[in-house]
Amino acid sequence: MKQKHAAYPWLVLVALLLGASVIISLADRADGGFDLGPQRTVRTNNPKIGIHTRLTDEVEEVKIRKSLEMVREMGATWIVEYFPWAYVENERGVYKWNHSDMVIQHAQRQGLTTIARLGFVPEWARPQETTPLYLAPDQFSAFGDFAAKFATRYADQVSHIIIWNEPNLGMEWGYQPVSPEQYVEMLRVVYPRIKAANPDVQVLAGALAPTLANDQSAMNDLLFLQRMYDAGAAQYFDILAIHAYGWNFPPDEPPNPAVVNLRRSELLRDIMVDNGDAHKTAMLTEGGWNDHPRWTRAVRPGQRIDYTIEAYEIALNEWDWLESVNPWVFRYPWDAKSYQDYYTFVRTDFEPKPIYSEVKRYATGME
Amino acid sequence: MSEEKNASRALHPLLYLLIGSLLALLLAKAISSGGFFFPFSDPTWSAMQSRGTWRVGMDPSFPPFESLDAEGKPAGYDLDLAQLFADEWGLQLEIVPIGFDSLLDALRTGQIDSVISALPFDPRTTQDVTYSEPYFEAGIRLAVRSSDAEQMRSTDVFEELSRDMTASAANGNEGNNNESNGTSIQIRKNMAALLSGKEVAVEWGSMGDMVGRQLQRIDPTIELLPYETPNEVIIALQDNSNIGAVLIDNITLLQFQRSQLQSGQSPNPASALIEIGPAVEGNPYVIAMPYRSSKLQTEINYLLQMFQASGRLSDLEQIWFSP
Repeated sequence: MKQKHAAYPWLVLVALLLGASVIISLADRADGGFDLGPQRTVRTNNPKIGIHTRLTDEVEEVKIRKSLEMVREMGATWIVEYFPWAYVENERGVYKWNHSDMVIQHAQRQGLTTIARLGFVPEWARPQETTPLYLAPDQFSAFGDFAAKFATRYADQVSHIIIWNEPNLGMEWGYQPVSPEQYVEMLRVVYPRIKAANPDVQVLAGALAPTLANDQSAMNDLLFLQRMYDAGAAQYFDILAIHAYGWNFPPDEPPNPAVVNLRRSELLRDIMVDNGDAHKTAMLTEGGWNDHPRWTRAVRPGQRIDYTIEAYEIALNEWDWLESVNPWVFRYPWDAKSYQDYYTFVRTDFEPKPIYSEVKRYATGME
Repeated sequence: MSEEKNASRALHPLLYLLIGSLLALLLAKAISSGGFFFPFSDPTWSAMQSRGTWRVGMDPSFPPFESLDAEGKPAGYDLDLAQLFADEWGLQLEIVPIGFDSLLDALRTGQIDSVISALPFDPRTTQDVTYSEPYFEAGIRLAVRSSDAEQMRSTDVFEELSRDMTASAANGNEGNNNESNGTSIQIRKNMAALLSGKEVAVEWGSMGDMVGRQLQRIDPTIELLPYETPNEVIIALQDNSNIGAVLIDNITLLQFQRSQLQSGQSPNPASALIEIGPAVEGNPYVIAMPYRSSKLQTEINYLLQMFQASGRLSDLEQIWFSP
């Protein structure tokens, strides 16, 4: 009897050691316990091909992996993905990285380069009854702290970060008056913090909505960019993010300040050059064509295919200042049941639309 | 006997407990769902009756369903359909023009009583709005020349396909192949078998093209011939006898069929198009109403059946899908 009791402490000790070793090995796993699969590389004829994914609200890991596998198989090297601040730091100082870890690790495993778009303000960092796109100047530093945390955490995995989205639209600026100067003030606070956290990361700014409007709700993107430079923006970004929607126009439609088309990007580039930023590059981080049957700014489905491939070709052959082209959008987690569904390359059930198959054929030579 | 009596008496507290629990459950459910709901009450229907009008939201930018006529007034299939309902109910029809993406919000906020605007059914919003039965299928149809239809219909594969499609429709999945269930996979396989070795015309990049590529993955002998527009698909079928079928949206198909009827001559079987089975990729248009508009929904569904049976829906197609 006595001998039997004497064995218990040893058994407990062994059990504790086993448990601890399991916990330690799980914690040490670089993949965070995700089902990442083997390391892949992208095979493509055009290294500038990318696409904006929309995995922010995609919950299931298997669907995130499937999306990124299909992006890689399409021959895209780049993805732009949105990482909302409020999703990670919903409670001040408490960071929940699981979803962003999942997306970024899967992207990396598929051999994709992630361009991370940051924004979306948590409730604690804004006044009540404001939208998550409202960021007051006294919270720029809090946003900068989050961006720095992000840059540190993903120093080996995320090489590009976009600060904010379409600040020239009132809606995207929390329904405050649009202000290039205030946006530059944000860059002035956020950029150094990101660079201090990871000097190698490339910081993108701009991401302006192409628009001809100039009123309370929006500011013309060309005007906005010039005023950004006037306010001293050049010191606070490395690459210009451009949004280039084609609306009804083919890709070879010449640039014109009075028209929204693909080559409006060249006008933005001219402003960069005029302001001494010729040495910097740009990226199309949103854009493309829509083939909704009833939207007045849509084209036929076949035109959408042709125009998209032509845009990738223009980027490769004509625009040496442009690093990548990332049309909106690969797939939605669910149907929007509006014209937005007609921007996607793949249906919610992962059925490839013809545009996916044709871009894949163009980029890889495979069906 | 006295033991039985005792047993039945002993049950009473349990019954009370059961009934009490059920009542508590119902109360909890009613509170959690925002109050009691009596299926026979319908505030939208009541408001329509007392107001004497039916306010219908519509985005008049999608002919032939709804657009603005030369005088700037809304006109189209949906407008005439709305008028049919209003006439039956003795109500005045009030059309409220609203942008397509804001229609359901207008419904939720009580600005309108219904939406009739070539609105596709959205299963994700059935907790927010009430939908009618579909009144028009705008999805992708497989169509062949009428001269080929008989031969196709006489095959075993077609019989099997019809059986599966009927079963799928009975399960509420008509033409909806988003779900990769066994039935829809079988439908695709049979459809591929039906088109095996045939040339199939599609609009380049369209949903018809997507379905064609799905079928081609099952049977690589299917050859897809892409054309720039739906109308070119139709013309190609007329001009090229090698083309055995088309995958095309139902609106274009109906417009073509009606144009042939309107020519006054009986359609040439070598060029007339006949659809085979229901939509292979569904896109049903429905009428939307505020959530829990049970009376209005019943009325609309009943009248839709009546309009179907009396040929009035067919009349609307004749009017609005003819060139």
